[in-house]
Amino acid sequence: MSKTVSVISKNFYKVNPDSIDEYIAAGGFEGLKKAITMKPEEIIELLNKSDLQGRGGAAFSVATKWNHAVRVSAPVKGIMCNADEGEPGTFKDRSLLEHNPFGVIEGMIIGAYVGGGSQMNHARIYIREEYTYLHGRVRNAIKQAEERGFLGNDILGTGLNIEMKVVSGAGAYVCGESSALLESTEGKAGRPRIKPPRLNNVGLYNLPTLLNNVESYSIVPILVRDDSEYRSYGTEKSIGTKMISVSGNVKKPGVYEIPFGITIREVVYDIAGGLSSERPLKFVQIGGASGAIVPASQLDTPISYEGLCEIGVAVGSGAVVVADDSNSMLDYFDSLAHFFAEESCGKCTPCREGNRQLVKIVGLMKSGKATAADFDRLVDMLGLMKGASFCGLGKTEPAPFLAAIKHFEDEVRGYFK
Amino acid sequence: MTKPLNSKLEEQYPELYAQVGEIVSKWGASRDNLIAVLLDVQSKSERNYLSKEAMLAVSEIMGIIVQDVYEVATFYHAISTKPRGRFLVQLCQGTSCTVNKVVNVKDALEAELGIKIGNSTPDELFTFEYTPCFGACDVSPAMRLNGKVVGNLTPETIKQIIGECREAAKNE
Repeated sequence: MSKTVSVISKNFYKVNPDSIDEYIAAGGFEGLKKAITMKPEEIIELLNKSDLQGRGGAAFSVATKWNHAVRVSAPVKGIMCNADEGEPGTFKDRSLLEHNPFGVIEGMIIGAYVGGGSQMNHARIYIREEYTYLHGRVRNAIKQAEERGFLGNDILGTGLNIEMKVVSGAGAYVCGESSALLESTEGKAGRPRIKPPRLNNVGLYNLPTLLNNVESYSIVPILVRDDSEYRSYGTEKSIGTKMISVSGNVKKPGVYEIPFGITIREVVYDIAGGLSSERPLKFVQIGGASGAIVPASQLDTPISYEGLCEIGVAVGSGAVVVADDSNSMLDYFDSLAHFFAEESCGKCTPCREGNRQLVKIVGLMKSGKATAADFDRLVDMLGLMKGASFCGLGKTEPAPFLAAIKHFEDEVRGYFK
Repeated sequence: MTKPLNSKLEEQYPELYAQVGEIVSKWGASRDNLIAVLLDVQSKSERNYLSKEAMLAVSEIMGIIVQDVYEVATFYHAISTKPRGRFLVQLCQGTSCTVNKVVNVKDALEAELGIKIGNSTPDELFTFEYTPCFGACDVSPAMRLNGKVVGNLTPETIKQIIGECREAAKNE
């Protein structure tokens, strides 16, 4: 029996993503039509019942976020969709936009109905520059939704007004951070803002703003329409399904939808077909470049919020990067350190300078000149970055390094003479 | 448009100025369109970059101080303020590509192009650089060739792809 499911990905390869008619015929916009017969509080209660957590990586309760939005009443608000999927190893939002763009739009409209402005909503889908080939498809979907009266003024006679646009990123990982994303949407350099004020008070163009990830929005219409299928999957504490991106040394890399609770081993061997090299698995990295490294001995850990939490790992963006035993920790460190050094926005010292030092230490490791003192410096630096960085980038970045040091201590120490 | 009545820049670079003006009218002159305008202006440039003059023109026409234009232009990876080759080869340095031995592809590209990564070929045909993960991990190791994703790279396919680029340039 197949271990993948299709609830969020139901329309994939079945419904033409360029045709609103096909989307409607497949039950599209029924979630929205039902939502406008409900009170915002009822919709939030519905999300809360399934304990939907933000799917961008931070896993913040969507119901809580939307509840905050309801409490801030304003005539004009911002409704943002974060499609800046920059976590290395992650490409599930890409496939959601590619195969089900109307689902994302429908989720955003429900978001605006629940927590939007009473007179006007400026909705923006911020898609990374790397996905330029998807901008046209999403713009086309917006146009069709406008023509059918799902966007624009007085949507379905509710008095809800939404003006929706696609905004292109220009290549910056830090823009996946919510406030940096808003800065970039406003045409500035994408550096994170000081919080508070929170975005639901002062966000896009200083308007109260509701911001969610592509996958989070995609799930909303499904839950509103009929949440029984979604709720039939998962574990007691992690209800439902999750889109994951599997890549690295596996036979069948790709985007899969899994019920929460299946193990990492099942994902690697049953879903992704096992290792392409037929060599033993060395480790997997879960949740993106800032996710922790899981050694082969922990492969039977279930992928769920509580299961991964037990071994100190987060679900994150749902990336699963698989590495066989031909990969050295040094090469992996090198890739990570260069990535973060390049992507640090430079605003705060711990992240900017910390990354510079990481690259230096990795360079010493490569040249065989690293000493035991450098190892201590590495650990110190990681602790400092984790504790003192300004935004999530620097705060979460040490996770894979620290996990690698914990699980592969002998190998890592071996690089320091 | 907020461009000055008498622009020295317009006198000096009438063509560029008109082109930038057109792009700004297409997107709108408000600040939130700056990134879209810069990407668009860059795509029209022969050397695939934003020249100093282009940035000055954007600044004048959109009414945004030039320091701000420069800050944005230099913050993002997708915008370059240095001239680049006719073919921009951007190799992914992400984790998936790393475990799929992108290093072999890098060596093959360096050999084929005759330059080290981070440089342009002397004939200005190719610029070869690393780029952060662009979400094509399902076809890793992957690169972007003038923005288009090319995946499942091997030293053999590299030879073929670069050969095709050279052929295309010859026939232009």
